[in-house]
Amino acid sequence: MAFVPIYILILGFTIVIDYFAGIYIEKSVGERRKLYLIFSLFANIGVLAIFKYYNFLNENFSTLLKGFALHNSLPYLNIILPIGLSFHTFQAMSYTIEVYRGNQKAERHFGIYSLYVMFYPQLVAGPIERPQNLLHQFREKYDFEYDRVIDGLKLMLWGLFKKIVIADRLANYVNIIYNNPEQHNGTTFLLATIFFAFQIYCDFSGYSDIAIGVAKIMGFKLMTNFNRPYFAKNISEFWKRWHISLSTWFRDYLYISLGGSRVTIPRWYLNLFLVFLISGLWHGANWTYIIWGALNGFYLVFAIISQGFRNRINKLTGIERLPKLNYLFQVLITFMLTCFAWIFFRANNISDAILIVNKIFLFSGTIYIGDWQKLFYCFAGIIFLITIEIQREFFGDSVLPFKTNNWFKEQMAYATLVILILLFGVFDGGQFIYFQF
Amino acid sequence: MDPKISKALKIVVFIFIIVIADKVLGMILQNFYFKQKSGENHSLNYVFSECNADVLIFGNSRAQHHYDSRIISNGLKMSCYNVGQDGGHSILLSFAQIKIVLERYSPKIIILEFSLSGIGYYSGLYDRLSILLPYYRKYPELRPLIQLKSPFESTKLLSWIYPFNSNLINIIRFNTNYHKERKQDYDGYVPLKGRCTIDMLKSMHQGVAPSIVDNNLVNALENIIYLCKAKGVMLFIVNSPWFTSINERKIPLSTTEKMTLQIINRNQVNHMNFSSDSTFIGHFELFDDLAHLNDDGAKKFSNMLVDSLKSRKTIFQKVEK
Repeated sequence: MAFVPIYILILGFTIVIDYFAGIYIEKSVGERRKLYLIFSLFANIGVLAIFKYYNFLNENFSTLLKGFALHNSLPYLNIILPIGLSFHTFQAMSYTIEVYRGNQKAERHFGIYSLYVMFYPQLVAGPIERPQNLLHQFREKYDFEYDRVIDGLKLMLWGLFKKIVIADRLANYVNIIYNNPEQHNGTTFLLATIFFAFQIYCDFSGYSDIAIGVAKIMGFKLMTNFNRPYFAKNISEFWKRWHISLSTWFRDYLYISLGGSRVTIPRWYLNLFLVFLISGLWHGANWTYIIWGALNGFYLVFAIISQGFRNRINKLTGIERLPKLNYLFQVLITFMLTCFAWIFFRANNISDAILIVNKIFLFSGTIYIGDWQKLFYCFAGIIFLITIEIQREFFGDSVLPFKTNNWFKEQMAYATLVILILLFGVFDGGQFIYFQF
Repeated sequence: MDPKISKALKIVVFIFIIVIADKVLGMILQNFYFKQKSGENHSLNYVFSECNADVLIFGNSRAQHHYDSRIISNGLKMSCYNVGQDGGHSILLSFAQIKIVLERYSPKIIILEFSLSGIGYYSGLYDRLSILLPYYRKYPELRPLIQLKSPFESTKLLSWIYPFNSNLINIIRFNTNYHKERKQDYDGYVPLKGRCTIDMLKSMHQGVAPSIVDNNLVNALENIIYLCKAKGVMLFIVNSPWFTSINERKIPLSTTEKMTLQIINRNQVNHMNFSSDSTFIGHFELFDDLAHLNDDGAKKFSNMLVDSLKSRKTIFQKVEK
């Protein structure tokens, strides 16, 4: 992942292709429309294939040929993955697909279309917008609105807090453990995996909050990308709350195109599984991401298949009569399943992931503490986050935390957030995880 | 009230709250930071403002755990203090420490634990200057060094709290009775009690010496040599033992190693290299891990160092005078 100035040309290439494709799709009828769409999709996916997947596919092709004692003479490309490539490529594709479907008029203004693809708050890590939501906003005029600007700043501050106080703090611990899998035990990996679940949530949702906040200050409304996913009762709900802009992208443009649920039952299961498998591949050219996607697909299909059985178990145990306990149980199971999948997402390679899973199931050894002061900050950050999220999930529905009618109380809360950032933030932390995708 | 004025006032009040809270909390933290009774921060405070030892030992965690101040003090018949700091610190920190100390007094001997590849750039090198942040206001001469950390460092340091970032728990801990629970030190020397195992060796990553020379590290090394000469302090650059010789005995030497040797030779600095000493290589019982001697190893090494220093009679006579 890198920002290489010459790579701006890649962005320019897809912008020009999709800009004209949109116009020609709208102008044309019949098969020609489809042809222009295919051309546009081919160009976008082609860019992704070359920059993101070529070396990965080539490597796997070589391994496959080796099995037949054959040699692969295809060269490896010495290229770096452009920053945020998957995000703006998907946003560009959603434009031509929506024009093709007749849901969006082709944009004639080249500058406005370019802005749609390159809108800087969400260019590198989303939310992946739809043209119906964003394009028209670029034609509107926005005056300075005090409340809107303040709300945007508050959202940015909350995002910054999640990123540098929680995510980057947890990253210090998680990186030590996951980058040395042979040296740590199962109990430590269990803790590191739970930490990673919160790290990736705070890292990515923190970025989304900052992006949405920046756009809001300028008057633009971007779609919500996270909705407290760890309160989900099942995997299906988790994906309605996690990286919503990507989940809905796959739903709208892949799952429905494959026939969605309006097909035979085995085909429906296959559709669900395929969507998650491809979603895994979208994240990166590595088998760890593919397995992560496949696991999520499996969870979803298994949940549907086992629905009746689980209902019977619930009746037998009588847990249905205790809705709060039932809810807590479901949330915990979903969180555990998600954590198990995160092992593959975070591990450096498949063999590391398998080693980590084996160690976790042995559940032995004492937890690696390292600097206990920093471990304390990790726990404190997670507890603080959960407290805020519980408040927002069950006692309020505001986009912003600390929303009250008492102006002074609210200001004090945000001032405290600033102080906490200064006191406990990790100012030497790394990039946002999702920049690499 | 005019809504515009009311809104402007709200912003002013919010900023005012933050500025005041930052200043008040920052000053409280500063006060207690410099009052710590033990711990690494205390060790740094002590050396900067009180220590008058004849022999000072500077360097990273290998300095802290390898040089038993008591043995060196008894052996040389001079007071000794170990200023080594945990956390993979570079020579930039040693330079900062030596600079501040030499402005206050001149010890007779400075021992600098330094690997030959110590002028090579590595990831996170400048992040570790964080340890100097609390001294930004107190020692203005450290500012150019601290500003190497990032281009925005001076802006971040407008805050009074930021210099004490991530230090709150330690400040509380080392100002209360809980400080007694820390690892005990003996004039800065912190003994390690573990034993290196075969598993550690198996999982060792084959380290490659950093190959890119960092000019700031070169300048720091040269400035240390210059400052010691200017103040008449005898400087010994020492590379203490490693479990394996991989880290130090590569043939041919890397660019960074060659350059360090050039600097040492050009300036005629006393250099003592124990990195390949057969007394230590491969001896599990003398190491806590692959990079650190345990207490037994440190005692053995400190005695060897004292003997080696004493054997340099002509040098030593100068110091004793």
